[in-house]
Amino acid sequence: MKKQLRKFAKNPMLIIFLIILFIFMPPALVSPGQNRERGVVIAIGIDKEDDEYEISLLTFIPTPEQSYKQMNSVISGKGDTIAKSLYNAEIVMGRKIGLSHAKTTVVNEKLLEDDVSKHIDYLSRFASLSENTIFVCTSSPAKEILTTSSSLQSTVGLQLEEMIAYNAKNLYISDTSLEAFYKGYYSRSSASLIGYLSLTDVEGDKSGSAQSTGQGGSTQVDEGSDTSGGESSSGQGGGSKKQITNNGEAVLIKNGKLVEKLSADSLNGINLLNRKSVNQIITVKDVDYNGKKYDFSYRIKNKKITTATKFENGNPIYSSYLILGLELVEIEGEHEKLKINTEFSEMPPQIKQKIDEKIKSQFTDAINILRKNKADVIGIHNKFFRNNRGEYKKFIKDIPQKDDFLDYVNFKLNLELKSD
Amino acid sequence: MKNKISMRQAGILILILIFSNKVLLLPALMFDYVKGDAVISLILIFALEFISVPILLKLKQTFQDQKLYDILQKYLTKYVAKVLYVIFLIFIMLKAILTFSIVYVYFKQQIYQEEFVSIALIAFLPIMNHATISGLKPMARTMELFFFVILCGFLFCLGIAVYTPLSVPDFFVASAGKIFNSIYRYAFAFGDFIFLFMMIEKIDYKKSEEKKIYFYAILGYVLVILLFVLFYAKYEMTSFMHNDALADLLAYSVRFNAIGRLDIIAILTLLFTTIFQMEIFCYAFCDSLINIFPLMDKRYSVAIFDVFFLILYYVFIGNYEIMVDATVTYFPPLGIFIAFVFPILIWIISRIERRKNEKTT
Repeated sequence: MKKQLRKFAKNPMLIIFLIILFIFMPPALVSPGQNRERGVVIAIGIDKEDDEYEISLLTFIPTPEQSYKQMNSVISGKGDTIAKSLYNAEIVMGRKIGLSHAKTTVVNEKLLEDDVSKHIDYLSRFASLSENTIFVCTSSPAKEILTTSSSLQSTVGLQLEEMIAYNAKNLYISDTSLEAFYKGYYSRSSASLIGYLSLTDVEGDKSGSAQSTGQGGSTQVDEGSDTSGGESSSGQGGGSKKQITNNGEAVLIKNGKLVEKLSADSLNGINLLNRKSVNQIITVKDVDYNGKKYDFSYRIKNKKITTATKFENGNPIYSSYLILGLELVEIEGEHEKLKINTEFSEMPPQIKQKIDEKIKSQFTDAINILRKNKADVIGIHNKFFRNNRGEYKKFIKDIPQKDDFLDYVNFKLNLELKSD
Repeated sequence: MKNKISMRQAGILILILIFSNKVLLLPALMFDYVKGDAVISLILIFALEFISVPILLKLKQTFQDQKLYDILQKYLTKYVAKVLYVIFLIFIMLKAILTFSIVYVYFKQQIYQEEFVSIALIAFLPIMNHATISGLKPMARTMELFFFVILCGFLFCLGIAVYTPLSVPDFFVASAGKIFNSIYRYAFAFGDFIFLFMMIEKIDYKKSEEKKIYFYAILGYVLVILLFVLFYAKYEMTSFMHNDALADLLAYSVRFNAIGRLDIIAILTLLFTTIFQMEIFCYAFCDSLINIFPLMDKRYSVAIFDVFFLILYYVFIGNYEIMVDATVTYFPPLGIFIAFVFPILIWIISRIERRKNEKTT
C-alpha cells in the first residue's frame, strides 16, 4: 500500500491533477448555475427612433418550474448606440446575454435608410451574433414582431425562422441570413436581398389559434391581380391585435440601404434564370380554346437553363436558353369536357404564346428593377468576369460608373415550353 | 531503436505540423491580401517547402544517426551552430505563442465568451511538459493513436462544406507581384520541416519507408489546399471576415442549424491538433535549449519554456492583433530563413559530405 502511494506521489501528472482539482472544485461547487447568470437569446430585434436604438431580445430563460409559455419573453433596452442598448437590455434581464443562439435578427426598415452594416457591425463582430442568423427586415417595430412571434411559438409552435425559411427556399432562392447579406454587400455590385415581414391588425378575438388565409410564401403569377399573402396570426390570448403577415416579399439592398421592396412576382422574375426556382404557378386568362374562354394555371415543374455571355461589337450580351417543364394544374371555365393530362398533354400554341409573353414580361420587369437600382443580385457581373474577363474589365474601365454595367447588357431570352 | 520514431510516426508528426497556423486564421488573412489567389500562393509556398522532404531524407542518409547540432557544428563552427539554434528557439517560441493565441481566441468565441487564459494554460502546459519529459517516442505514439481521430474530424469538416452552397472562387485576380509578395508576407506560418530536421537523429530511417514521409506530407498539403478552396468557395467575398476557417466550414448553413452543436467536431479536431502541435513546439524548444546549454537538465529546459511562454504570452494576450500583425511585418524574414534558406544550407552541407565520402571511398 505504502509502496503504491509513493508511486502515485511520484507521478507529476497526478499531483498536477490534484492541484487543479483543489483550485477549481471548491469555487465550482459554490458558484451559481449558468442559467442564473446567462440568458439565451433566440431572436433579436433592432429599432431606431430618432437617434435612439432599441434592442429587443426574445429570450429563453431555462428555469425548471416554469411552463413552456412563460419561458419566452421579450426584453428590450434603449441607448444611443447598439452596444449601450444591449448593455441596458442586459441590465433589464439581470443576466449576461449570449447571442450565439439567436436564430433570427429582425431590423426595422428605418435602419436601412442608412448603411445597415454599420448598425449590425457591433453585434456580428463583438457580440457573437452568428452569421447564419436569419436576417429579415420589417416595416413594423421589430419589437412587436418578436412579441407576436413569441405568442405564435407558444400557441402553434411556429417559429419566426420557419416562416421565412419557406420564402428563402422557394422565392429568394438564397439564404436570407446575415452571411448572405454580407456576401451581397461585399460583392461586385454591393447588392443583397433579404426577407421582409410585416404586422397587420386583426379584428376580433383570435385567441389560441393561428390563421392562415392564403398561400404562405407561395406565388401566384396572375394577370392584373396582386399576389395573395399568407398570414399567420399571433394567436395571442384575450383578443389578439396583431399578426405577422408573410407575403413572400423581400427587400433589395444596395450599399446597405433599402432601395426597393420586391413582391413575390418580382422575385420570381429575378430568379427566372435560377434552376432552383421552381413550383411557381403561372395563370393565363381568357384563352380561346374550341371557341370558349378558359383560365389555365400551370406549375413550373422543372427548368433547364443554358446561359452564355459574350461581347458583340463591344457590347455585352447575356443570352439564355430556358426550357420550362410545365404541369397543368387547374382549368377554370366550362371545362367539363376537358381533362388534364389527356387533351392537354400537348400545349396548344395560343397557351404557349401567352405564357411566353407573360414570362418574358416578368423577366423584363425584374431586370428593369435591378437596372434602376443598380443592384445585380443575380450575378451578371460575375458571369461576365468569369467568362469574358479581359473584355469585361476593359468595358468597366470605359463606362463612367461601374454600377451602370447592367444598363449596357443586352439580355436575350429564348424560351421553350414543354408540357410535363 | 529505443527512443526512435518510425518513418510513419515522423510522417504523422509533419502532417500535424503542416496544419499549424494554417487551418484557422491564415485563409482569411491571405484572402484579404490576394483574394482567391491565396490558393495559388499557398500551392507555390508548399511547392517550395516540399523540397525540404528530399533534403531531409538525404541528410539522414548521409549523416545517419548524427544530431543536427553536431552536423552544423562540424561544418559551420560551434558559434554559428549556437546562433542557428537561438534562431530556432525564437522561431519555435513565437510559433507556439501564435498557435496558442489563435486557438485561444477561437475557443473563447466558441465556448467561453469570456477570458479563460488561466484555464487554457492549465489545460495545455502540464500536457506539453509531460509529453516533453516523456520523450519523442511516446509523444509520436500518442499522435499515431489519435491520428485517425484528427483526420476524420478534418475530413468531416471538409465534407460538410460540400453540402452547402459553393461557387468557384475567382483566381488570377491579384497581380503576380502581389502573389509572390504574399509568399514572403505569410512565410512565418510555414517552415514546419525544421522540427523534423531538429529531430533527425531520432528517426528510425529505412530507405524502403521513405515514401511514407512523402505520403503524409502530401496528404497534409492536399488537405490544407482543399480547406482553402472549400473555404473560399463557401464564403466568397466574405472570406476575410471568417477567422476560424476549419470551424466556419461547419457554420453558416441555415439547414445545419437544426443539428445542434455540429461545431463540436471542429472543436475536438482543433483541440487534439493544437495539443500535439504545442507538444512538438515545447519539445523542440527544450531540445534547442539543451543544445545551446549542453549541461542543462531537461526538466529545467521545460520550466524555462513555461516561464518564457507565460511572460511572452501575457505580453501579447491583450494585443492579439499586434501578434498577428507582427507575423506579416516583422517575422517574415525569420519564416523565409527557416522555411527556404535553411533547407538549402542543409542541402549544401549534405552534398559536401557526400562528395567527401565519395572521395574517401
